[in-house]
Amino acid sequence: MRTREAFALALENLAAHTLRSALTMLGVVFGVGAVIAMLSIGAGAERQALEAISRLGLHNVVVRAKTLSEAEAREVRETSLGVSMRDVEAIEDAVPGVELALPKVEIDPDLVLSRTGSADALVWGVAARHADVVAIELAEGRFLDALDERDHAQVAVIGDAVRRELFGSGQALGRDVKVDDVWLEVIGVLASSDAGDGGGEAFQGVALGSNASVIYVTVSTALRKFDRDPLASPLAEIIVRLDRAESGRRVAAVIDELLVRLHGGADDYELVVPEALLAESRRTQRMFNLVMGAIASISLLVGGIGIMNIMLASVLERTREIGVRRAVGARRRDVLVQFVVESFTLSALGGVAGVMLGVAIAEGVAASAGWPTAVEAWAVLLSVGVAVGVGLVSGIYPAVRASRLDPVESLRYE
Amino acid sequence: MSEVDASGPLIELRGVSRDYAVGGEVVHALAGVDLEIARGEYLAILGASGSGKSTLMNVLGCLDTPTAGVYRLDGRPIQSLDDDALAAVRNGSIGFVFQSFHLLPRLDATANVALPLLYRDLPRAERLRRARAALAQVGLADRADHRPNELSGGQRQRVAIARALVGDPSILLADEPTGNLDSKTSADIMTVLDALHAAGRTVILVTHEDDVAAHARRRIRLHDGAIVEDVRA
Repeated sequence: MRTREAFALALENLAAHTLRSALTMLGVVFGVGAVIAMLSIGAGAERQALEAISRLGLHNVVVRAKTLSEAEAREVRETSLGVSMRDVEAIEDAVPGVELALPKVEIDPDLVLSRTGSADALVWGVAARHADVVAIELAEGRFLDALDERDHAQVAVIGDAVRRELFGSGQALGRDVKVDDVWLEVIGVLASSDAGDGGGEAFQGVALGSNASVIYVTVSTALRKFDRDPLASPLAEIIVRLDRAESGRRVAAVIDELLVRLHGGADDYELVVPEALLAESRRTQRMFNLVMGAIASISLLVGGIGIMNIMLASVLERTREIGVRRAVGARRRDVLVQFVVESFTLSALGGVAGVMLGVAIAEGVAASAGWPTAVEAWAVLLSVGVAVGVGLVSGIYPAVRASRLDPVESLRYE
Repeated sequence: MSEVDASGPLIELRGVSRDYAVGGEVVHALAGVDLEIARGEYLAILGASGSGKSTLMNVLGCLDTPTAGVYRLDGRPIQSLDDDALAAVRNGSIGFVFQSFHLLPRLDATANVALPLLYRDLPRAERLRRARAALAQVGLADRADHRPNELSGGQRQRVAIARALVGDPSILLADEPTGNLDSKTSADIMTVLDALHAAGRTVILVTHEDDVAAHARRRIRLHDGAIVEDVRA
């Protein structure tokens, strides 16, 4: 019997008992569906975590000022300046393996005005060389330079959204913006970030989020011209970029030692090592997949037992058919193939239905709970592969029994 | 059968025995049967139930193998063949007709008749063509797409005969072919078998009814696994 005939025969037999076939498949359908759904939700969560981590840059270590209560801040400031320009210089000078350290001041102004409008924007105080490291695309004008930094120049580079809110379609370059009490002259406008990944800051090819609503000034301008809470850390964060070959964890340990001394032991900063976060996240994901795999294998096992059970019943029920087939010339192998192909078809169909169910669940979860999900090809292949394997294995025993039936006995079977 | 030894008998049994172990005892279903059947014969095997006639039919049909003795079919020794080779002999040389028809209920008449050809690796179109021809031969061309439950008993047995014929076997083995049919339909079926014999086919009937056996040109009677009578008409 040819393979194609065997499959046609299997489909005919399954179609002859639609309800029974559907019920038999259910175990596999739910098993595969659960695996796909869980792996998709897991993969979505992991992708989100990885995005957040790589936004920090895998070859970076970030020093971040801790948010402190007023009482804590008072106590800490007796020994520590907070995260400051002194830390930036010290890290660059004293820590081996550091390529450069970029300071960043964050100010959330109450008021951003021009003569023609107002805007909702953040002020970021950055070093002039920020633009050398972080890909910043300008639509017009220039970025901040060393001279601006030295002179605490009251100049700004504004994001695309800020420009639209403040000046509409009019000329922005050379115009003035009032941020809280400080007047800034616009010397540059960022390119539009409408084109998705095209805009925004990018670091080593990784998007850092939109900067359309940001007003860039120099660190010195931000620190000297704006009113800040004297108890707050001067800098919001320092992005420390490492030499390619360096391990983030090792350098972070050295930086930590240095900062403990500079801050007089005050606990007012934290070190974020994306590399370590990544490893942690991968470990969590692996554990999740392992647990899911165990649960899924149980349901696939149950599905397989269901298939075996039905196939055994089917062999019994079709004993006479087997006898007739043997009498007209079917070899044992033909009977074996017929039953194996049937359970294979059953589980393969169940697997396909399971994939559809799993994708539907994943999309349903994505739509209703707002979780990101990602249906990955390997998860689909793996679960369908396992389901089909289960079908084959559980089909073999009944098929062997069918093929070993004695033709004379089977013909006599009532 | 590629090498047909046309000079010798079609079937030759020499001292064929078939023993079964039932419980602790050995039952001799066939006890040293010697039998020759020539090509084109019309033979009836008679005997009471338990006489061994079913066992003899199973052995002749290569569904069962003798525990002792020699069985040559077309000069080829059968008793030493393995299971796959026996299946090939059944497929190529034997056509079975059973008392209870043994049609597959989910298949229509054509598909039932085509069943033996499925195991010959013929293309589907060719299988169906031959099946329709065989159905026409038994006068059922107009019932080709009916399922067994849509056919009368006589029609079912005709389908079964068509299935036995479709592979062009050397022997037609009919086991109580009229056992489940009324007398009128029985006569009908016997007419079909008579016609097949007249057309040159070797027909072997197994029956316990004398009037059915009367159609055959030669009758052998079995008792306790041995031939006790061999009459030619």
